[in-house]
Order: sequence, then C-alpha cells, then structure tokens
Amino acid sequence: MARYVVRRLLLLVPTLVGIVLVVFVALHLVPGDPATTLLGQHATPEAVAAIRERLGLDEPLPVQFLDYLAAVVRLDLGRSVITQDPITSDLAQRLPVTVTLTLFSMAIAVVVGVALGLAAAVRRSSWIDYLSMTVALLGVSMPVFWLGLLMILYLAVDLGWFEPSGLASVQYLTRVPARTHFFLVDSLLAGDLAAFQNGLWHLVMPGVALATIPLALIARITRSSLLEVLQNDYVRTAYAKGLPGRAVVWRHALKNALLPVLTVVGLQFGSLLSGAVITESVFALPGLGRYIVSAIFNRDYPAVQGAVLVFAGLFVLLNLLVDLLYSAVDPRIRYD
Amino acid sequence: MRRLLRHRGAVAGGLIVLAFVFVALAAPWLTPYDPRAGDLAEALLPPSPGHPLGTDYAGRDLATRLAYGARLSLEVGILVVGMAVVVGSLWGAVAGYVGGWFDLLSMRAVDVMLAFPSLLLAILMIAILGPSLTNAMLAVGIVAIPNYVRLVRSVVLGVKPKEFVEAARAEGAGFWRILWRHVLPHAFAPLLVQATLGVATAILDTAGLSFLGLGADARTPEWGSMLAHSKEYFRTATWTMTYPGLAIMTVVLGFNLLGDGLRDALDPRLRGRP
Repeated sequence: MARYVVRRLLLLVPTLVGIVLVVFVALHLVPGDPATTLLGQHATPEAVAAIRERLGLDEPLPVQFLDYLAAVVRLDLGRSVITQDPITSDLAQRLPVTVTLTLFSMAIAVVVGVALGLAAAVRRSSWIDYLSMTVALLGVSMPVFWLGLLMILYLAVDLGWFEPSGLASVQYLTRVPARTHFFLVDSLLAGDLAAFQNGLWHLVMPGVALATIPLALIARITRSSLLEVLQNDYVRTAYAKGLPGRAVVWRHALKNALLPVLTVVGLQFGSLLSGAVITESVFALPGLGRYIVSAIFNRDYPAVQGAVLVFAGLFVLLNLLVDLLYSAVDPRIRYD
Repeated sequence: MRRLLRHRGAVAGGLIVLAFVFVALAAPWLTPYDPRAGDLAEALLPPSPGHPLGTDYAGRDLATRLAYGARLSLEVGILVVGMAVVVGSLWGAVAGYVGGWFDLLSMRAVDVMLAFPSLLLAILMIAILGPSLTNAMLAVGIVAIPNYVRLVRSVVLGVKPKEFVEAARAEGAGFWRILWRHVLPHAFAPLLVQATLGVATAILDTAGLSFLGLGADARTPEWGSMLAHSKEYFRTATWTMTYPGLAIMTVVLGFNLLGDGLRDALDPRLRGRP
C-alpha cells in the first residue's frame, strides 16, 4: 500500500507541472504587456523597463516558466495588482471557505444520494423508486444559481429559517479569532459552540444547493449498481440460507454496490468545485470562487492565475484521495 | 427509432426540446414587444394580461425576453456543441488513427485539460479573452473538446484493426477517405448521445457564466444574465427570478431526458445507467 501511495504521488508531479504550464501560458496570452497592465497606460518607459526587469519579463519564455515554477513550489504566487498583498496569504484565507463548502456538500450528496438510491433499488418500481428517480432527474437539471435564489427567497426571506448569506453572523465572525481560517474549526478551538452552530447553520443552504447535481448522480448510480449486485449468486445464497432481506442488502450487497459510487464521487468533485464558484457568488461566501470572479473584473491577472492554480491543485488532490480510498475499499485493485 | 418512441423519458424530453426549438424560431412572431428596449414607467409590473409573465427592472416584457432567450440558448447549444464535436472528433480520430507521438502528446494535453474543474478552465479563458457572451461560448466549447477527443479516439482504436479498414486501405483509399467513410460512422451513435447531453451542459454552463457577469451583458435577453439581474429585485418581484430559472431547468431537463433515452435506444445494454 505504501509503495502504491508513493507511486501515485510521483505520478502527480507531471500533472501538476502541466497545470502550472497551462496557467503560465494563459497569462502570457493576455493581450498587452504585463508591465503596462501593472503600471497603467501613463507609465514612463523607464518605469516599465524597471518593472520588466524586476518581474523577469526580459528573460526567454522557458526561463520565465522555470522561474515561475520554482516560485510556485515555494508557494510564492506573487502580489495582487490591486491590493499589493501577497496572493498566497489572500488565498490561504479563502481556500478554507471553499474546502468546507465542497466537503460539506459532498457529505450531503453521499449520505442522501446513497439513501435515495438504496430505497429506490430495494423497493423497485414502487412510489419510493419513482419519487427518488424523479428527484434525481430534476437534481441533474437544476441550475445551482436558481436553486440558491429560490432557497434564499422561500427558506430565508419568507420563512426565516436560515440566514440568506454570509459565512456566519457578524458578531460571531468578529468574536472568533482566525487561527486556521476554517471558521467551524476556529470556533471549536475557541470553545465557542454558539459560533460553531451559527456557522454550520449558514452552511446548510449553500451546501444543499451545491449538492444537488452530485446527489442526483449518486442516487442513480447507487440504484443501478445495487440492482445489478442483487442479481448475483452470492446474494441468492444469502437469501437461501435464510438471512433477512435487510441483512443481505446491508452486509452483502451494499458494500459491493458502493464501488461505482466512489468513482462518481471522484468525478463529481470537479463539478462541485465548478459549482462552488457560482454558489459562493449566490450566497456571498468569501471563498476562492468569488475571489477569482472579482479578480477577473479588476484585471488582476496574477490573482486569477494563483486562484485557478489552487483550484486545480485541490481538484487533483481530492481525486487522488478518492483513488486511494478506492484501492483501500477494493483489495482487487492491484497496487502495482 | 421505435425503441426511442417507446421510451417515455425520451418522448417527454423530445417534446420539451421541440417546444423549445419552436419558441426559439418563432420568437419574433410570438410577441409584439422588443426584447431589449423597455419602458421604465412599466418596470417590475406583476403578471397581467398585457404582460403574462410580468416585466423586469427596466420595464421589458419578461415573456418576450424569455422567448428571445430561448433563441440565444439554441444558438449556444448548436454553436458550442458543434464546435466541440467537430474539433474533438477530428482530433480524436487523427490521434487514434495515426498513433505515435501525436497520439501521446494529444492524450497528455487532454489529461491536463481534464485536470481542471471544467468551469474553472472556462473562467481562466474568459480572464484572457475578456468577459462577453461570445467568449463565454468559446470557452465552454473549448472545455468540452477533451470529452469528444477521448470518445472518438476510443472508437477509432477499436475499429482500426478490423478487416474492412484493411480492405479499404488495400483498395488504395486515402487517409481522409478511410476516416470519413469507414471509421467515423462507427462513432455516430455515441457522439449523438454525448452531443445531446452536451447541449444541456453547454446551456447550463453558459448561463452560469452569464450569471457571474462573465458572459452576456444586461441588455441581452440571456437566461443566466436575466437571473443575475433579478438578484436585487426578486424579494418583491419574484417573477423576475422564477421564470428564467424555470426556463433553464426545463430545457436542460429536456435535453437530459432525450440524451438518456437515445443512449438506452442505441445501446440497450446500458439501460438504466446514469
């Protein structure tokens, strides 16, 4: 297992270098000279020349790429053109918001999706089956941004059950000291249960809105995979030896049916991260997605570059985790 | 075809898609209003006989904007998926057929593209090109290409060693002729399924980018942009938010149902798979 993990980590290197290359090339495709973009139209030629030298823009492109790669490895993503703050520390504050939202959504999607799929497969062709599959079908077609607005209107504004936006109420945000920038973790570290509860409550609506698409796909794949597994000989044997239906499903069928589900979970992290950009915008969450969108409007290219890099890195890492989990669950997957 | 017509989901999806295409094509004849120009005196009017779905913040008839929005979404679907299918299929076919270093490089490029969450890659491209509807469509199209490259390449790899391809080569058929007449027809069924589902994704992603302000501007009757601009008014004028969202969901649902039905009809072994 350890050798497999090391091998997978080594295989990650070319992918990560490829990602950095794409992002690097993208920045060099931006029309105009980066130095002029940084300084504005009215900069003197001397100032432009000075900044070109400081940023290494006079070097040949391959050298610039290697410099950039080295800087990325040192976690130095440059400074924001607008605020002059180091981008790495900007991102360090926003990444936890996106990670929390994404993992929370995936947890909802897996728990509810598997439950729906399970109910649909066990009670095949019953009203539960039709209801679950209708929910799944609507979920796949639901625009996250519309569902978010509907939830804000009906659940927050009309019924007052949830807060319409933000990470937590202002009094908690100012009261909890930011140590890890994960608000939920920070509030627990501070022993502030009221703040934790408030943060969790704020997360419910964005979490559910973002979870719909993976939830729907997980429900569908759980159903079809369980139906397939239930036809196997060992399931018939389990029934034949007198095991109650519940035990057959839970102990024999579900574990094997969940392998394809795990594959979907891995693939769906991409759609969750994409959806996070939109969800953060709907619910005014200060995460990576909102950071990228405002950086594009400000033409803050280094910030866009850094944030996209972190997003892609996160995606690759989450996929790796799912792969490792996959081989841990299914010993038939060889480690070589 | 008979299998498709017996598939309830596919029939429902097909009807939704037909209605959508009809509204898109007939928009100018269905409504007397201009989708772009409004009368501020008529801003945010609730649904009434004169404006069956109400008006938006600029006093424009919402039903009119939705109908013209269908037109735009149809354009988005056709252009985005058309571009991705043509470029992706050619690329995948050549990579699979030629093999060697071209195939190797192509597959690495595809891997790197797929290493990005799709909307993020589209956003990176919009950062380079600048926000506009055309650029959003271009970005969504480019991001979709790798799916078609992989699909067509795998079909080509399966067909290439077959005898009829060898026979065509022995007859002296050229590279493009073999590809066009003997290899690509085998990719037609999976491409049709993928493209139908791709239209749903293209419409959803382009609307999402417009919602973020990275696509269509406020004047353009685009569904995602209409939703974005309803954000300030939807608490009092709910119709400005409800109908554009409902339109996106219904059309996306239609293409998803049709795509699933096509897959079941063309390959019954996959029936019931998500």
